[in-house]
Amino acid sequence: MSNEHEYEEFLKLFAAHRDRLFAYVYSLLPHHADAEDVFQRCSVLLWRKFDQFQPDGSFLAWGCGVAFYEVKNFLRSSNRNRMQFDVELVSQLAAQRLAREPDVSPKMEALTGCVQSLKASDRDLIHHAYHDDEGLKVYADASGKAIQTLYNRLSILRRQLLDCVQRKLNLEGAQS
Amino acid sequence: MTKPFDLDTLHELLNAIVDQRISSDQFAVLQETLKSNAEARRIYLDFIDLHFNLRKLERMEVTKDPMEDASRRFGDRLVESKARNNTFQVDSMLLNTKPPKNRWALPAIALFALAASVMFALSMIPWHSQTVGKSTNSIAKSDQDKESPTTNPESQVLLAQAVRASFFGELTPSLDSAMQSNHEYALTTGMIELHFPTGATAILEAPAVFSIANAARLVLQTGQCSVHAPDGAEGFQVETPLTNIVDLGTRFSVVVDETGETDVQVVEGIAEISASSGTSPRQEDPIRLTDRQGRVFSEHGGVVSQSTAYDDSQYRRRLPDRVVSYRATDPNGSGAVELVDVTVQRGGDVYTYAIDKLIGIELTHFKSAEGKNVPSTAHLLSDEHPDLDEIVSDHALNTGIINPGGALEPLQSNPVMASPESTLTLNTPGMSIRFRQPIVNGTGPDIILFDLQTFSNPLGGDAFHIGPVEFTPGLRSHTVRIFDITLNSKEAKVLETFGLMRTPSPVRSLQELRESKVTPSRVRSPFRALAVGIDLSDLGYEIGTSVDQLFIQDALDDNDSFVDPVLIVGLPPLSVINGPQ
Repeated sequence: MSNEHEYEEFLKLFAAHRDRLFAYVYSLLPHHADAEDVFQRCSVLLWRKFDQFQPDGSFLAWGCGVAFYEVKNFLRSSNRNRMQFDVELVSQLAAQRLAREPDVSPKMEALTGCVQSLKASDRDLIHHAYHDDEGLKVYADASGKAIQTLYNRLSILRRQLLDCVQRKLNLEGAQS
Repeated sequence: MTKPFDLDTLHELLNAIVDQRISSDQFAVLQETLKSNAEARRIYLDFIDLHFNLRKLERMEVTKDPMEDASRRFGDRLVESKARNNTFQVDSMLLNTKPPKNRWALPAIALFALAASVMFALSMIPWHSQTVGKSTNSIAKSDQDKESPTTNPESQVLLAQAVRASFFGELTPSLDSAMQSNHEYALTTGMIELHFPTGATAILEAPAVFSIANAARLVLQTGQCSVHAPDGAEGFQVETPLTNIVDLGTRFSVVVDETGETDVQVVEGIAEISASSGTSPRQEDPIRLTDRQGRVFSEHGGVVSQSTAYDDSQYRRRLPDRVVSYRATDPNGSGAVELVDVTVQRGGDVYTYAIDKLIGIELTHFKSAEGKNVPSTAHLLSDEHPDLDEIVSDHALNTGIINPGGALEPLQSNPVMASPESTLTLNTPGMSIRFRQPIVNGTGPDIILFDLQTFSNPLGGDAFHIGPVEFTPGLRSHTVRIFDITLNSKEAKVLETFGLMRTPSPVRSLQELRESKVTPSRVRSPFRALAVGIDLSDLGYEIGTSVDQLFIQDALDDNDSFVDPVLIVGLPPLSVINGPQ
């Protein structure tokens, strides 16, 4: 394979699996800055090691394998923050995560429908909670609402959305 | 051993952790619960997926841009799962490199990760020393120039134009290249214009799934398409899941949603619509629609239709005003350096401006982004002592003052720029520019900003605010969140490697910028120059108003990546130009 072809292959695979790879890292390090830090390191490593990747294998599985070690390295070398999962839990989560349904697109489709069917004020809350990294602090100040009230409502909405997505997926499963 | 858990408590902890408000006691309980129960872990992973997917969904929301509004309109499955696909063209700088082996020390990665906009290396590119005296001044080729010409273009459907376009699972085809037949394309962002051999054109807006059946037939699974079939192109067909539409000349739009519901609006001319093959034939077919008529087709035990109010806004006549492309020199064959010309669509017409027609700037204020060792200057490697005024005024795309400070919210009042030495902290973060000649606001873009970008930065470009230095009634700041030429575009040229100067602490004024000690370094990963056109009307200026100063701030949308406005030029007034291309 020429180098040009190799690079193009890598980019195609990386592009197709980038989001899932990041989701994998985030599940093990549920803190955005930490997850992004590790993900960036992992991306470099995947390119550096790309000649070790078996073309007929699963890029995602291989990438997650590399990511897993990067997460462990990160946990070992970061100032032992009490709010990070220990290695045992990270291993349990990693194993369970990789075994899950590989195709997320049905979930996103279902989620879009579920968010759209929320009432306008709830959709607004979701938007402000997720649109940027500020979270609800700015929205609370601007709307004059107590932030705890907003967090409580957001918690309820998340649960509703989880149930809604599951119902839609079950329906799809029953129909297919 | 599996321990039972309380679902409500678990949910409380999950919400606390994703909202980053979990206490250490709560964290300990969460960890213990997850370790001792696989079902709890399953719920946790579902919850994380939900949180991550909501984040993705909401961050696709980019306001005030008709293309982004079009993307949002359908809530199609494509938007969320595919829209942030990173597609790149292969760049020539990497043709001679193998994946590097252990040449990148981790501390250096950490340094780059801290640096404001220079990211860690995707690949190590051996530095080719500059050959002095090579003065071919060749124009840097875009990747489309390198591809072999398509055979028999007269019979092929071409991708004539694209703006911010990306496709799922494949690279965006080059402009003027042939599209494949019977290949399902999923356009996830932006818009494209296809030219059919008979003369028909179709503008497709993301999200859209389509394929080209033959030289006169487009299959549209979902999405929005505006068709123009001029004389000679009558008979052009669009097939949707429920309908077959034949354009008898000249313009119609069709929108197909995820259920297959098809909304056809004829702007002018005639279109004939029948139920598509694969659905039961109907007695009333074909239905004829003429000027300013609309009809919606849906499935209720067979294809049914009803007339609908005509909606003029559904039809798109052309891609929006924007920067279309640019050319630059490639003196050493290792990447673009100086801008040669830029092609812009203004008020629907396309113009190309050579560099000598473009209006340059000087820098009148600078306060950098926060952070340690933030690069403030990009310069040519051959220039070891870059002069600030020169790198601002030169035509190079890889030199300039970079990483201005910013704010999440755009300014609504005059920036503070001339604080005395003792109160430099009062200076507003950002940069102020003055054009060498006033820029006259016309229709469409009036100013072009070029930004340095590598693939680990936001693909659409670094978001920034631009506004007046003096707010008079009616004026406002405008936020640019996505560029016209993005990393997904083949028009974004790979730049020749350049150097960076870092200051040990943030710079608070132009004087500090000139006087600060700097540490040189050089970039290792391939950078490209993105471009965006800015319309002064978006800042509230009336058409015909002259503007000579503006203030630019990073929008702080990304902690690691700040805007690098290496080249900012004003366009000459619309009345004083070469004429449309």
